[in-house]
Amino acid sequence: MAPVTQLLEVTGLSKRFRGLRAVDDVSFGMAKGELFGIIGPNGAGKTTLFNLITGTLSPTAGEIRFRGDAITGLKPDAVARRGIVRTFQATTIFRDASVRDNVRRAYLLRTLHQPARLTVYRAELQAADAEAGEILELLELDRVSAQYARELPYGSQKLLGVAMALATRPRLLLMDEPAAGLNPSETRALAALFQRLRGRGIDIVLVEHDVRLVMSVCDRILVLNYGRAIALGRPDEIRTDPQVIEAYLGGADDIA
Amino acid sequence: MRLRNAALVAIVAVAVGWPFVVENRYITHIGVLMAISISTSVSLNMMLRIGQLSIAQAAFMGLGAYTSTLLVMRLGLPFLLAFPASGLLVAAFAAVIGPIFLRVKGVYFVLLTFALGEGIVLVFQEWVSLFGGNNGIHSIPKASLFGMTLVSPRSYYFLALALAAVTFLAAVGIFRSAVGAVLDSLNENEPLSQSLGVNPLSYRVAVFAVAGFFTGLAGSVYAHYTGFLSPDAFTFWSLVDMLVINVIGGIGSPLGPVLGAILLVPLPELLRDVRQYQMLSYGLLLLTAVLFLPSGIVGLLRKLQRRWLP
Ligand SMILES: Nc1ncnc2c1ncn2[C@@H]1O[C@H](COP(=O)(O)OP(=O)(O)OP(=O)(O)O)[C@@H](O)[C@H]1O
Ligand SMILES: [Mg+2]
Repeated sequence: MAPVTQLLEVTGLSKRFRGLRAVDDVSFGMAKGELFGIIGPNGAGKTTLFNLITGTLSPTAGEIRFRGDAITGLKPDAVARRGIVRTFQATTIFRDASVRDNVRRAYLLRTLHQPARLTVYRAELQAADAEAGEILELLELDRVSAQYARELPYGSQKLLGVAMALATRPRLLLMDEPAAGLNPSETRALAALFQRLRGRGIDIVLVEHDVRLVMSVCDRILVLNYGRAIALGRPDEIRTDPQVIEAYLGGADDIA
Repeated sequence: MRLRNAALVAIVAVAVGWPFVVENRYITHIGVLMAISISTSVSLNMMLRIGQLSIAQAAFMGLGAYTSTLLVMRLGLPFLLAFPASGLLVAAFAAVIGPIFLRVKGVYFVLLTFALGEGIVLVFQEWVSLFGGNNGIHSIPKASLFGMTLVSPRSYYFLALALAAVTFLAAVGIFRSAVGAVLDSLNENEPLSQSLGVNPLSYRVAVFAVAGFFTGLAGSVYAHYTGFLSPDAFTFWSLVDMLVINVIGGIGSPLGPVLGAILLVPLPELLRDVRQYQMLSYGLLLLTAVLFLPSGIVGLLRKLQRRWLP
């Protein structure tokens, strides 16, 4: 097989908290165009892995490469500017700003990432407005755009988090349990959104507890357990992997 | 909107007009101090808006004051050059130390800038050959602009008023603009903001430099107006004045320190007869404000506006 240029390449990545190995010698590669899933029981190290990739935490050992460049040790804002943007497991939004302002702010935080000029950036405010309008429409949040973010139902708040990440024009979107707290129809809408984002050339790493969702949308899946990568492969491979079945105690039912 | 414009015209008319009506040198003197205080307090307000209380602001005013004085007296520069230079020097100083100092936040930043302020004042005191030590510097030349030497308190009032207006408009402009949206985001949720691509430190340094710029300019006006500089004008206690002005006026908007300065600067003069109670009344006023006006005078006005002007 010809060597594939990896979009994201993680090698021997480890993170210890005191004695706890939250992420333990994890390696995987993800190709451009792939929808990559990460699953694992509670406390398996999924969020920690995201924190390491985005620079929120620095690894104890290992290397992360994005589009061929080492990004290990970069600050979160520098990682975001390379094109890796994450959404959070807990809703993370500007609660006291309107829905529209949340997305406008996200756009401005990326575009004006450092103060370069002493102007009022009128053009940027207009661009932010246009961008916010478009993204809110894409995510069907346009009808609530004037509401305070804190007033939205939980599911919409999570969606708003996605809208904010999109406003930074990411290449790779890391989503930490976007389906948690969504009802079945919202979850279906989310799955449809993944396909639309792929159509726009945005790649996705999906961390999810909803195994059914992951199995149905992801091309390849990494399974973590106690910080270690116990399996990596296509959904049909993962489904029948004895170690994975073991990790999910309940047996095959949970993964089917 | 029309009401607002009318109010604006009235405020400008009063601010510019009163020294011609009240032809009293002493009251005009208070007016000059008030206007200078507006510049320094609005500058401090910029720092408070980004959640970083800089105790060094008073010493920064001193840096501006001594810079302007020395440039005029030692190098013979005209005020027209020394004035902007004093602002730029303080801004440059803030921009250089900012990346180190602003790495820390909250009480650590407060303590660091406290030490910095004390250190700067110590240099003013100990480097006698340059700064005149505790005796200070006397007979500072009056400012002259475009061949016109400013002598009367009234002329300094207009200079200080212009600076106060520019500082205020800069603060309003910054916080209403796209940059303001970035600063508010950083203040509300820095990890989220940073995860979206912004470099938090670069913005904090920029605000520190801008606040330093206007504080330095205010120091220059102060030096040439009073004609005398001594280090004790720039200690921690001057910072406390700026801070009280912000708290009582309201720290949530640049209008707060403006109103705070208008109310508080004349106060020591009004309380002259009860000098021994001066600190006490100051304290009581602060206590009242903190307890009953958590958002300062501006917060109170907003409340009244909502109630009476739908
Ligand atoms: N900042 C931290 N300090 C100490 N321990 C931590 C820290 N963050 C995570 N941990 C620990 O590391 C382990 C992995 O946590 P992590 O949040 O990555 O799990 P997860 O797979 O995201 O779990 P969940 O499905 O519940 O979100 C847990 O045991 C957790 O308690
Ligand atoms: Mg997690």
